[in-house]
Amino acid sequence: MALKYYLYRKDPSCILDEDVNEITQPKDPDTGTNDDPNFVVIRQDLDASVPLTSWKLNAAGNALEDVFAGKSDEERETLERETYSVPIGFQQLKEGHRVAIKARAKDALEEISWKKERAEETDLLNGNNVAMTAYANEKKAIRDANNAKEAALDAITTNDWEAIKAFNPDDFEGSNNRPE
Amino acid sequence: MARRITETKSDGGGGKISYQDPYDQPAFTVYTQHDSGASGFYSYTHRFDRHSFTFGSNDGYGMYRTYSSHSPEFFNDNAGTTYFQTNGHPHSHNDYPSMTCCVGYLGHEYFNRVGTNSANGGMIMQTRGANYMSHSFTTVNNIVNETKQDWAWYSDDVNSSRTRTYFMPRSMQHYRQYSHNYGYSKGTFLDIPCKWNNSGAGSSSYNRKTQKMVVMEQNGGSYTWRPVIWHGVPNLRAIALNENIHYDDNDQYTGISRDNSSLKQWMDSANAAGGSQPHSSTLGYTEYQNASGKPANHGWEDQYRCMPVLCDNGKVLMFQMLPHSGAWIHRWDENGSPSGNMRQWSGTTSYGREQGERFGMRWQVTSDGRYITGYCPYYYYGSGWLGCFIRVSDGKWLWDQSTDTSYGCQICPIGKSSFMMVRTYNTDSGYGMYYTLQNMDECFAEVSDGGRINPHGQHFFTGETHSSIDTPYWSTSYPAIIPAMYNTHAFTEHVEGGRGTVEGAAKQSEFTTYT
Repeated sequence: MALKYYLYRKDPSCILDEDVNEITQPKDPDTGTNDDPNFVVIRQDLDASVPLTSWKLNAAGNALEDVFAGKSDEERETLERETYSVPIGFQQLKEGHRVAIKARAKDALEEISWKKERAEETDLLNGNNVAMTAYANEKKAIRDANNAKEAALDAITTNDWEAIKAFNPDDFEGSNNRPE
Repeated sequence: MARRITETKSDGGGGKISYQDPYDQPAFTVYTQHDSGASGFYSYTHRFDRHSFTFGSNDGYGMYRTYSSHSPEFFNDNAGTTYFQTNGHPHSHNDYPSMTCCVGYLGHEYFNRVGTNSANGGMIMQTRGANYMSHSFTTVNNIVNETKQDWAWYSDDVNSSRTRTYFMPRSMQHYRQYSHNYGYSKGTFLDIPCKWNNSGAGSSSYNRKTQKMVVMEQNGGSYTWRPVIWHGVPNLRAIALNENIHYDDNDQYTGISRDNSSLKQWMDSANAAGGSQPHSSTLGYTEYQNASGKPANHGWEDQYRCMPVLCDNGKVLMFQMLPHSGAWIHRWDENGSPSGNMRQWSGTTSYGREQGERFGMRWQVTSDGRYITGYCPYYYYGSGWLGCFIRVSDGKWLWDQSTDTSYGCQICPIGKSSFMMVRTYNTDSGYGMYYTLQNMDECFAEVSDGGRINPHGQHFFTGETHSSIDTPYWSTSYPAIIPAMYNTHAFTEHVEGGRGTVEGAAKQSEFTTYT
């Protein structure tokens, strides 16, 4: 079997290309001249019966190794997805949800900001701080709901793809929920 | 014999051609959207000048914003869904807009595209885009050697004894009306009789220059394909853009049967003329032999869909996605003999239309109609790229691939005879969108038939890319492109020199003065 060139990307990890001809080492987009450290070109003889997606860079960073050796094709596909793809997707969705929760809370706080001036004037007229206390409590409720929602997000088991997909960052107290 | 439709070139009446800078038209839009940050649509011309944009991060009431109570309802309702978010990328998942299969001849499955006169960058189409409009991407037949790419034709309704084919403007909304609201039996359609077996979906090719079309037939879902070439095909663009098959009938008080339309009469006469016609025939049809050497079978995608290309010299090429087994390409010679499997792209888990209309093979054609690419994702629903490039004049083909398991690769025509490929990498820190441009004339001149596309010593999809196209969001973002609608004919009409195209204007000298 002939040696081939493989272009491997470290993060997110995968063989990006294969060729019998030499593959050019990608350059750092910042300089255009230095080698991009996220890519490595490997020349190796790989077992064609092993899916490309099972080959990963070894610890030394100079060869590809079959990380699912001994597994069936079906097991390989499942393991590859669960080991490499789902964690990326899970983390991206989780961070997206967290940003969304904070954004909803921020919007909700901004939406009631007009109440502050009214509360100050009401308290001035009444000689107490009842209105401002109510206003502060309303803001606190939004923040508490934000925190509770983030706690619920953090409680999702890592890489539980179905759970993170089903998670709705909108439905908490004070959030400006999307219209149905 | 049915009437023949001819076309005369207009010179504006004064004997002079009004100059339109073809590069000043929109080519594509870059879309990014982050749930709580800036987002929008930046549209670029074929010269990468800014064409138009919609951009928002302001929370003033009624102003555009990605998502808040202040944003327009459209975005407020949809910006939180991963269909429209670009803060993630496809890998093995199925809804981000940067998937490889999201773009094709009709634009982007989820978005309204930019037209030449648009004042803004684009617009999402709620989940209607993903759920409804993508249907057209799986049924649109290809058009080659057509410089006026403002129309489209579609075939669905698989496994029938006729290939029901619709003609209309190049618009997914138009097709949606015919395919669903009208119930497959009204509008500007033609039933093309199957001569061998059963119909497929989006598996025909019209060569405007030779006035022929190939309609692929399949054997009842048993994975074998056969080209049937129809000769002397009328001007399908005229039928499509007049939006009715009676467009050339005389007005009269008596109702006219569909069977009396010129299109139907042509079909009847072509059918009656019979098969086994020589390639030079101007009527009738020719059956080629069955495809041979198909390397793998999977399901709906390769049972009922393929991308054939009818070349000027009578060769027919066919590209197919093979879910879970990559893709393959096949060629028939001008005598109708099959080549067998010319290449199988290796595959892994991947999904075609059998998993939803948003998935599967797509195609794009250069502005001059002389080159076409067929492609599909490598990994799951929308990551990586496997595909071919075909020269219509002689059936020469090249290939390329990206076995990327994380990012989508999106492609659109740019300039006269080039494609732009976009890798939907993270644009974080203002790197911008990564892209590569490649001129097909150059690639096909320098690489032999069946070779790998090799621009400047590197591959199209995995070689050097540039990241100088700005995106509407600068933090973590994986952009998508929305191919634009523009006057493709302007590239043939107003670019001097180069190789001829089908009906382009007379070649201009380098010193032609436009007025």
